[in-house]
Amino acid sequence: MPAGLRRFLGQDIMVGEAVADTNSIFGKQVYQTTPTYFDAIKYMQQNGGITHENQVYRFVDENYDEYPLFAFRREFIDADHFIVSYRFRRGTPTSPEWGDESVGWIACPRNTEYQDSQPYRYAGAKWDDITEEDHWRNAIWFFNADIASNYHGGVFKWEYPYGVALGHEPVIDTIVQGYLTDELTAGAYQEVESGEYAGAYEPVPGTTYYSVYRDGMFITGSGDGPYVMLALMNLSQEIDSFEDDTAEAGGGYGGGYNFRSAHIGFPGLPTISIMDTGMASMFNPTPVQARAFANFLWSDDFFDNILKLIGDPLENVISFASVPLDLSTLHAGSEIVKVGNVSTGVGMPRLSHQYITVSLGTVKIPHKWWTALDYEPGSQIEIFLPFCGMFNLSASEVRAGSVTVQYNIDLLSGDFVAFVRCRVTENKSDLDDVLYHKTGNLLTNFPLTEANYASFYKSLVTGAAGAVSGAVTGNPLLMASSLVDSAMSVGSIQLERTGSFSGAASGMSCRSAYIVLTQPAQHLPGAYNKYVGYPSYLRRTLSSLSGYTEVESLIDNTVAAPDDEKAEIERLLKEGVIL
Amino acid sequence: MTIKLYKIKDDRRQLEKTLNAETLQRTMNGHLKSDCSIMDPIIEITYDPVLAGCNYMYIDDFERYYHINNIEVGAQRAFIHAHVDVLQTYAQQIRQLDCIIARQESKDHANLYLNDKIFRALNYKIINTVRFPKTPFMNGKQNVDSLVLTVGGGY
Repeated sequence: MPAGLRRFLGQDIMVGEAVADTNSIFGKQVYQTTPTYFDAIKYMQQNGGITHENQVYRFVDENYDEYPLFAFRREFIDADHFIVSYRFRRGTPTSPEWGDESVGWIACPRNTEYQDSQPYRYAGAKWDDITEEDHWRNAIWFFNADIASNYHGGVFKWEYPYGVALGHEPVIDTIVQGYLTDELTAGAYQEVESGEYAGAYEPVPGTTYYSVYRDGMFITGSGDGPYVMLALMNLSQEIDSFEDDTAEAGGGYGGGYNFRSAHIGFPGLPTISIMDTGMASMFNPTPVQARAFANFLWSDDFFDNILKLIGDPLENVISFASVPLDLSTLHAGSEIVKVGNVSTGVGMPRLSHQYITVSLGTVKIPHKWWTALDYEPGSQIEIFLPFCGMFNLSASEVRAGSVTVQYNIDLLSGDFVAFVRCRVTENKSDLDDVLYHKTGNLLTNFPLTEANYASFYKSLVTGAAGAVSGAVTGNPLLMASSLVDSAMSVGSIQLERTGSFSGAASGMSCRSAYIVLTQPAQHLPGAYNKYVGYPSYLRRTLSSLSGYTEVESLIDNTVAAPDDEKAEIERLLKEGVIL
Repeated sequence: MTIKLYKIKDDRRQLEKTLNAETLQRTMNGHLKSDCSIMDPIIEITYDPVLAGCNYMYIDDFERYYHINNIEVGAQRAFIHAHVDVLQTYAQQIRQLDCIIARQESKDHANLYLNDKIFRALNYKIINTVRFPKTPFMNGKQNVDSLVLTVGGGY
């Protein structure tokens, strides 16, 4: 299939040039999806499955777990080209939820210079029926059919549909990686279960390639067979230009500001732990093992006591604590614990890491009103982080985007840093950055001596001082008057929902992260727009408009009329006319 | 001067009124009562009962449309007080005006992300919570805790 715009399977597609880079794969697919996951589920339930061609859904269950399921089929068009069609479905091909419709496809010409598993050409498609309400309009998928086999990592490339005609750089919204259980074979569906969202990506300087990262680590291949990486890209971003005098509905353009965000991702962990030095070891005992250890410390056995006279074992116990985590995945074998030079005879699982990362996943914050009410001062968005407390997020940082939370934890001290990563690509934002860093301590220390207990008690008092207060501040009179006249104010009330949690208090606090959305209950009369109109502030010729119109100002009053009549025309236009 | 008298139901803010055979009530001859402004003329005509239902007129000499504000009736004479309808009179030219639009009926020409102080809201808020999907500090709905013992040297 030669490069260029082609018509295929009823869709316009752009077939691109071959890419010689061994790390590159490309297929791209324009798709549309519903604004919220629950809408998608509801739609499926009402309509007995996905029926709209080329719509892609991502599913979320009652626990807010989100898991798209991919399946792919490869069909050869000719010796050098094949089509990969894919579908999103919940369940498996044998489960009741599985449907028969393909919801997307890409054309991947095979480059005969390379082996079978490495298609290099790419294709794009656009949908003609993208609706204004579609949050993901003009988004495209990139399908990477081969990364893992060469362990070169997640480097992929895309080009804009219709070449330079689009005139701007698409912004990646989400990257999902899935793992194919088997290499694609013609005529068969391969089931893929999505792995972690890949998350971060960075441009490779001087190219249009992008390296893909997950949790701060460069993605490398793993497992047998190729794996699939899909990227959602929002093409609605435009590059601003001061010369552009054609403001469009949804926002004016005027800029010349092409600054791209740095996309500060989650940081990595320290590279040296106390275990690396041999100065200390960390264990994850069971309560039974802990009791055995305690029995050793306070035993009255003669030989034990002789050894303890030489070196007090307690001097070598650095800490004994509880952490609110399951550490069973960090076991590096069972060892007999020594304190100093004294063997306790007690075996315990030894921990392999001092520093760990835990992810709390991603939450999307969709629009509610699709108006200014979705942002401050109309709406207020707060986040509760376990062991940190509640704090405000800016709606501009999360609305119509997503929030991802990750903790980097030091198991020795219990200190952690919680990172809140905000991603928004709507309305010219290019945000995919860690914007919030919250510190705290999630360790509950168990004092072993009186000296320990003194510091333990002090931490309890400190924690209690920051306990929940639930205070309401703000001027109630001001609040009342402002809310009567405007829907825009919700910020006149400030709630102190939590204090800080540390030390022993942390173990008793809520352990789930969640977001609190406080939004106005908009009240609009019917046909509001016909009598009052919507805010506009756009430049238009009146002949292009119909219905109720208020004019802010005339560019030039060219009506051939006496001044008094011209003045009246301008007055009436500003008061509102019906065109 | 020839005067066409109409009975219309259109909003005064409507750019172009419904002027057709159905709304046209009479075509009559009249003249100015006295010196007056072309924007606010007083027209003297022969009394006709149909005048009572008319609220709009066109004066061909002035090539202007008028809202009828008041009709004074005397013995066999009537005096129509009118004010020019600049919207209808200059409708075609007005449509060619280039403007900055403050408010518009259609979302196609609106930006709902602009602050709109006309929006009203009820005095209570809609509050939702959204839980993050992963809970590493819990196992299902149960808290999960592990002991950590750190010793010097170790094993």
